[in-house]
Amino acid sequence: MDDRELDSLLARRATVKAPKMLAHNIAARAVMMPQDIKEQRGFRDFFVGLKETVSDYIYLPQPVFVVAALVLFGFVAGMFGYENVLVTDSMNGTEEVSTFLVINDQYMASQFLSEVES
Amino acid sequence: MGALGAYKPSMDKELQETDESLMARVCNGEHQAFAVLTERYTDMFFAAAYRMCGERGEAEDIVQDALLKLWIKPQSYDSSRGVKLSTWLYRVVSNLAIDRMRKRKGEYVAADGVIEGFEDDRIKADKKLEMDQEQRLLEEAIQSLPERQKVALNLCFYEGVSNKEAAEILEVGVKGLESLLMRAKAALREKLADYREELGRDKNYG
Repeated sequence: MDDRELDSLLARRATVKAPKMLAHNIAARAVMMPQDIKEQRGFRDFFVGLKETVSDYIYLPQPVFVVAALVLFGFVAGMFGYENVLVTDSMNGTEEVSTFLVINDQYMASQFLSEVES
Repeated sequence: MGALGAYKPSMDKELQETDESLMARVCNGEHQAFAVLTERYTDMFFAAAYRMCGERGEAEDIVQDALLKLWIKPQSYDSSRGVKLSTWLYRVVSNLAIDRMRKRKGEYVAADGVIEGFEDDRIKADKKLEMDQEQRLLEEAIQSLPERQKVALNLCFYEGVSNKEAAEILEVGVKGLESLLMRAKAALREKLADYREELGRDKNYG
């Protein structure tokens, strides 16, 4: 099948018409629905508004948005000096581990030196 | 009639009002302005949604959700960004359709459209049957395309949207859109050739 044949087949694709009262029904439903026009304020509103704006433009699954929001939040907090803002207490073992490694290295080095000297 | 008659767009002046001016009125809570927009866009976006998802019920839900979103949160459309209302609505409709297509991935939904335009009595029954079959095969082939290819094809071939506008709706560059279209057409050529082969076999042995 060549390009011209495909184009002519695509041009013959059937059209559909909307059900007769659809526009009317949508307008009627709107009468029963209150509008949600409010100025955005506060932290939560900012993220809810951001999510709605972004999802108007791209398809964005919820988990992707949550992770992106956390990364953005962590980055902004980091800029204001709160470096461990996304680190929970259970994750704070890194300092002890690094201290242990330093002590262990010093011990190994002194062992080595004493062996060389003797 | 009462309340239902109250928002029926009847005045020519209103029907000629620009989208921006109607949206400003919608932001002030005027149902009448929303009714005019609904009248203006329902058919167009129903056809677009149907072409994307291939099912009338789903197309109705998509159009309804997109337009009601415009009523409930009119501030989500911001004309100062330089985006036309129809482009913004295409984006919302495309995203809702892609969302639904992904949710039902794996399920096969046969196109249930009412084929129109073949009411001419002069067309003989066998010719009509052949054309119906061709339409069914074409619809099946289009519906089996990946979502973004399908949306790109629909926007450029059937919605009268320019390549630049379609690229904006799909959030890709014009080159990206052209690549989506090329892949869609290549896939369609392959699928339709297979179908035609099958049809030929059916005719010979059936």
